[in-house]
Amino acid sequence: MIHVRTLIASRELLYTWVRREFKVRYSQSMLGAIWAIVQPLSLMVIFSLVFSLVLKVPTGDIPYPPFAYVGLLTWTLFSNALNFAIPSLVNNINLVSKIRFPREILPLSAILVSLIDFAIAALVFVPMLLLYRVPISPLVLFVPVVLFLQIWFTFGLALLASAANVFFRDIRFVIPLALQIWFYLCPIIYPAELIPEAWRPLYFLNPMAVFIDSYRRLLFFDTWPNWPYLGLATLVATVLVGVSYRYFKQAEREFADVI
Amino acid sequence: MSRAAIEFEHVGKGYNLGAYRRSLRETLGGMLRPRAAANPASLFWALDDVSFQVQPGEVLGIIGHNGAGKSTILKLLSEVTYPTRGRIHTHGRLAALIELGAGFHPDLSGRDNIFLNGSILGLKRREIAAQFDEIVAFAELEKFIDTPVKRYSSGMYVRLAFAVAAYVRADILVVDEVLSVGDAAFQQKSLDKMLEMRDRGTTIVFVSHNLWSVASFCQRVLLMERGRIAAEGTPGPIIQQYRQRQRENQLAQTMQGATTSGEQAIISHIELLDEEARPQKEFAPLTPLTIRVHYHFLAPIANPVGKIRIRRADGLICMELRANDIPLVESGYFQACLQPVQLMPDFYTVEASIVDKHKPLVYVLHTGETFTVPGQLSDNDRAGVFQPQVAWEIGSSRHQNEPISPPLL
Repeated sequence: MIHVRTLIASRELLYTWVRREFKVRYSQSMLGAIWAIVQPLSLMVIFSLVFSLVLKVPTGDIPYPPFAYVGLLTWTLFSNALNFAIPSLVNNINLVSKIRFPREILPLSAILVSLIDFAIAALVFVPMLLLYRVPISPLVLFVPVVLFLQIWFTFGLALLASAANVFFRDIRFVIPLALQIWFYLCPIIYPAELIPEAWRPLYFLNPMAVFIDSYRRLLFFDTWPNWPYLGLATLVATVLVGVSYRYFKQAEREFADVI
Repeated sequence: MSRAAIEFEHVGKGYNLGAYRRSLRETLGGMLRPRAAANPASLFWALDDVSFQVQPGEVLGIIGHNGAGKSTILKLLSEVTYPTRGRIHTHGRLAALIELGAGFHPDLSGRDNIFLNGSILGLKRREIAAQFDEIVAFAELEKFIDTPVKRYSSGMYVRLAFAVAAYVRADILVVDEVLSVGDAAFQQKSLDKMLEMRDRGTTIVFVSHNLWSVASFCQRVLLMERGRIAAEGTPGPIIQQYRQRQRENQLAQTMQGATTSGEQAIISHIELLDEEARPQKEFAPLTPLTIRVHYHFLAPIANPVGKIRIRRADGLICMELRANDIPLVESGYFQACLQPVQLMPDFYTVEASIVDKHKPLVYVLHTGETFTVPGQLSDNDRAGVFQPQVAWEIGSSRHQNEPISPPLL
């Protein structure tokens, strides 16, 4: 598609923009890079206290903190990416409404910068595993593939929501609420096995649930992901990207008139 | 067949008046079938059926009143927005200098913005880096290049924006009045640079209210009026047409102004007469003009004085004539004879009033009559109001004390 070609031709702009976003995010925050770690880590501490001491959630052989951290880490990537990507067009009105460039660079950059945050927070994971003496299976090498699928899915959502946000400004307030609910619909703080078998097909229609479950299987349980569910999630993500990219490019023509 | 650098085909641009609202349902439907026409009822057509071409290397000027659609054309050219109707074709790399700060991110430094802007305009980082020093030197911002541009003055903004656009080696340059933000030295510098670009074969589209620079710089001019092309051609005649329309509009506005009739006197009408006392509408600069004001008093007035003002179409008072020592009777006329008129070609209104000799009291004011001094409307506002009789002479500098002969009538 011509749009993809234009996007690739603008890769230097993407690079410049990611660099800029990164600088801005860290220069403006007090904690800087530490925040990338503090976020998932603090959530993990809280949930560990509640669910392994107070409410005893069964997590098999794996201690609760690393069990939860995997989900929290990848979920934080997802929610941060969306929270930065969705207002990215409206926040950059000066560029969007006055000069021509592939505007999908804005949400895409937000996602990539969140990926950098994720990488920093993931570093903490390694000492944690050593601390709890959790054996890591070789299947862990498949994790980047699932990660890519998650980002692919995030991209589709971000395109749709950021463009819609230009026209319907309240979307950026709906999203945090939706994410809060969505959080509990994913096996982050509890194992998927807790969901009754009859409900599982419905449960795993949620791509994020599939991804997080897959991470845990690969990392801790030496099992491949559930292929049908993963395949479905991939399909959902691909269709989403296709539809929302088209929507984005069509809506883009009117950003300058509306923003 | 040579390809035009820019081509507008029956372009229309409509904006929704009022709050923009579009339901999700509409949008989803729109993706599945071709874009349906927008609802005509509530649309404001900023451009209506505009078609023109610009050949490669040509310099086109666009002039017109505020709101005529000039900036809309520029926005469509730079693909910031898209036409509601019609098609636009451009060939080549396009650099646009429209609206202050367009394409700049306020939090970034000048340096980062040069790379950002250059990147948006299609240059690679290497190419930008190679020209970086020249760009900064042209913009004269060496000291400030690492400060965030939100701290820049508007002049600095424009210098930076122009410097990037100038060195980007665009095939098409689109510039609007944003240049007028800079000081005189900068305006000169940028015009020189644009001349250089023109000589290099860059196609330039130039929108400005500075008719002098449009006249001297452009090869062809479009006159826009209310979203349509009113005229198209070489700068001279088109600018003439524009100024004529401007004057006519201004005239219409002044006419709607003061026509008060007083309680103590009435001015019934004003006649404009030539040397044979015939009413005229046109008076050549060197012919006489007689202004005859017919009036009558409703009540006795102590010290009435007749006054006549001649205003140019844009409101400038060209002359004020007071008949201080001429006693006015109860009814009749007072007249002034200008021999000759001695005004520059333009449109004029005559205002007559009866005032008090000593106190600042106006008994009656009447505006109404207009006349024209025919001829070429000057291109430059500073060409003067008054066209005097002048006698030119040359000679050697040794005999300086001879009396100067008065102008011949």
